[in-house]
Amino acid sequence: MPIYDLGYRHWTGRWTSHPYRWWAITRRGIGMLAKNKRFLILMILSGIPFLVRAVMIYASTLVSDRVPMLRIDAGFFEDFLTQQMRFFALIIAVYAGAGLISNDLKANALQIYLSKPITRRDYLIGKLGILVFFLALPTLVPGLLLFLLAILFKANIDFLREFYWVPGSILGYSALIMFGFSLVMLALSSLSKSSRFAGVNFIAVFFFSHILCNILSSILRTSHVAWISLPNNLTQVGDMLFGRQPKYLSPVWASIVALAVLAWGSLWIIHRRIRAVEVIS
Amino acid sequence: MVIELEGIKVQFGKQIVLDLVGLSFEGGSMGLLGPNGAGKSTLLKTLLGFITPDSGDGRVLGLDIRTQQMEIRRKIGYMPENDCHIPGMNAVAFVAYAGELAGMPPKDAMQRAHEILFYVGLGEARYRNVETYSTGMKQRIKLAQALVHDPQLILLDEPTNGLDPKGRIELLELIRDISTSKNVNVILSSHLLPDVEWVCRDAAVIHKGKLLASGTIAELKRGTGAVFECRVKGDSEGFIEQLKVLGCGCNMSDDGIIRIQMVEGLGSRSLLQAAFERHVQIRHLVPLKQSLEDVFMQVIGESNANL
Repeated sequence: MPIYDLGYRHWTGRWTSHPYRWWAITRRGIGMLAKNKRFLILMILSGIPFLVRAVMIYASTLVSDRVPMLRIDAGFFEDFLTQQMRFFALIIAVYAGAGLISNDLKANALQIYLSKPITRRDYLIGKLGILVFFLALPTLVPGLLLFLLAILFKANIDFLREFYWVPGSILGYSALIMFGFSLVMLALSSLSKSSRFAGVNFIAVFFFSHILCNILSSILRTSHVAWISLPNNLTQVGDMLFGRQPKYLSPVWASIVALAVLAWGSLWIIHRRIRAVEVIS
Repeated sequence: MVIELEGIKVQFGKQIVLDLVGLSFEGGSMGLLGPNGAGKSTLLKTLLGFITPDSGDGRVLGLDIRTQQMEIRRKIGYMPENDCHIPGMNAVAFVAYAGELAGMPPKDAMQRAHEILFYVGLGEARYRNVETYSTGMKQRIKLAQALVHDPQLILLDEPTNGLDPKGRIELLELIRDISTSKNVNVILSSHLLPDVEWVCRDAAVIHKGKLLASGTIAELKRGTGAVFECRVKGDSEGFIEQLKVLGCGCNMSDDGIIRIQMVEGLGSRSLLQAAFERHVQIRHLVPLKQSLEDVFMQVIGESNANL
């Protein structure tokens, strides 16, 4: 073969199996975000509440459970996820997720994706995987680590016997935050070519639904309308998962239905927007 | 057979955008010719499986376009018409990513990305962000991402759009090399006839969704009548009228030179006869080499006349 002809050779390697094709999208997306310094700083900052809670667990072993604030029970883990990590999850969802689809729309990248042996489902799972991964880092991972620390510091089999179900609750509640935030964020990202638009809308969905709920609650003088608010719904289901009395008067099933409708609506939007016919200009 | 289409019909609402009775491509390089909006891009998207035809059957590389879309996409490469890239990536990452999406292992995809970028002439610029590329470089990177997984067939949709003359020739040379030396089949969709003539052996003319002519370019050229360039003294209007009665196509330029497209079977004798009947003197008569443009203009003209 002449030397100038070395530029193009036929490839005879083995193809990867199709069921894992989405992993290429997830892996590349994670890699790209991990190189972003500002995003890394945000992720590091999201670890601060974990450190504080870890110190609290250690302190609780010194003063036993006499100080209510240092009582390590199921509520301790729910509060950690709801009061601290959910805020970081929101910021991370906006930072990492707003451009996931909108930037592809802006750069006409869907033509590249869909001309390869990639289905719409592969594309969605791939993009979802990126967000779920980064949302697991401030929710599921520290939640389970805290539980592990509690077992280690307590060194007490009674604690494990009493709260053996809490890891399942942490997993369920984290999954709710991870997938709920991811689906809504991706749906909003697919609606526009502007990542800024998607990010602002996500924050609007989160806070405006809460403000609307508060206004209605004030007018009607009841918290039966808590299901209108996305954060309240998460809290209600979280209370149920961690075996606590629900914070609001609205039934938990209403919150579950509201979250299911939101997830279904998000999937419907994504399905409508990420279509091969998008390629037709 | 690389492509076999039978009775493919595509409708958007009530509008029929593609209605091909039959189209086949044995391999090598084929140009899809047609004016803007003829249905060329729709045909490419139908071959890719982006659009499911309303009726008809088709096979690409022996695979059914309705049921084996994923297999087809693994075996073909597509270079879209408009500007597109994956945001935030340099060229080598972008092309390697395209390879991974096609199903190549990451290591192989990266190695191949380097090779392909050198092949398309972007070797020195492969670590630059694609968003900073010029139009010509963007066309090359689109070609690179279509080639990275070593497809058996590449579909090129208006590949020379926006290129300067030098860039256009370089890209066409590259495409010709792919089809002739690298054993990759090429379908080139373009409304630029010289591009198709430069690169392709076969051509298919599409107009308003219908296939008007197909075959090798040499056959298509042979199939039409001779072309003459002529200058006359006397009643040139009457002469043209006489030729039009015979079914010939005539076009007179501002400087009085008449381009005559003869009907198949008629030659210079008929032309001289027409001049004799109209009492005009022929001062200049040169037979012209038939170009693809002549074929194109003729079939499009006939199609419009039949509508």
